[in-house]
Amino acid sequence: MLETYEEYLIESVSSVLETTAFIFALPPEEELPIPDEGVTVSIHFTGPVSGQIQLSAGHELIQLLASNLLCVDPIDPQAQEKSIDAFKELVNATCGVLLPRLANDPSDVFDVTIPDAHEFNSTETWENAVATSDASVLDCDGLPLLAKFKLM
Amino acid sequence: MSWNILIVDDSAVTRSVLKKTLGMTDIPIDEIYQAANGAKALEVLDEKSIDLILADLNMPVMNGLEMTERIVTNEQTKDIPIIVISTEASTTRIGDLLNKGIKGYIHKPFTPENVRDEILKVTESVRT
Repeated sequence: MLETYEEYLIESVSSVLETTAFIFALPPEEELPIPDEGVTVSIHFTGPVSGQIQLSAGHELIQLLASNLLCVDPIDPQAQEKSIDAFKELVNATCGVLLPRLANDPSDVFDVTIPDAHEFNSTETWENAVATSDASVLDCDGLPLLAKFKLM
Repeated sequence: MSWNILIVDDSAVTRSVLKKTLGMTDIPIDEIYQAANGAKALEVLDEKSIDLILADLNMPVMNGLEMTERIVTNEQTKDIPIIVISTEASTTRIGDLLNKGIKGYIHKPFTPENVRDEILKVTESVRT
């Protein structure tokens, strides 16, 4: 049985990545490259439990995500053009998997915001985010994905 | 009969995935139209003859719930089957949507097989 909201989040995002994009997210066994440029997406929810889910990754991983979702090559212009949209959809779908697990009852209602995205362009931003106590890093085909769950 | 299908989702990636998934079904498709929110979808419905709508709920400008209410209360569009494809999992909300007249529901994240099966179920029920 999972014990914490962070564990629920990790299991949810891993499941969505595997189901929709054939990307396996695992606990890192070795040091992963730190992205110097990338994107953070977040989504807020209110209901029996209220909070925020945040995911961060470098451009390489989100282009891989987009290319797998769209069934195109990672260097295809579509994968680059739609990578942020794909990452927003990942946090949206992750929220969809996570919330039923946080609900007390299947009839519980949550209100969810539209996913928000912003880009970062320094390794320092990544390192600061990883250093917080609510951060979990996953190894996605050798690339890092940062996941955070915040209660509000 | 060939189907004109309208995909309504604010995610361009999801619209592309759904379009590809439709190609995996044996439904004879005439045209696939796309809209990024409920308001844009209503514009398409004003101009085109649509036979099936696949719609997200959580969208900017006009969400899928408001769009559904407008479609099912409009004499011109009330018989168009709507399949909602959303992260919504609350049985309360899904029950409300079914009461409003949606014909099918697919939970995100979806697989192409989920989508194909639900579309075939709904289109078969419309055909018969």
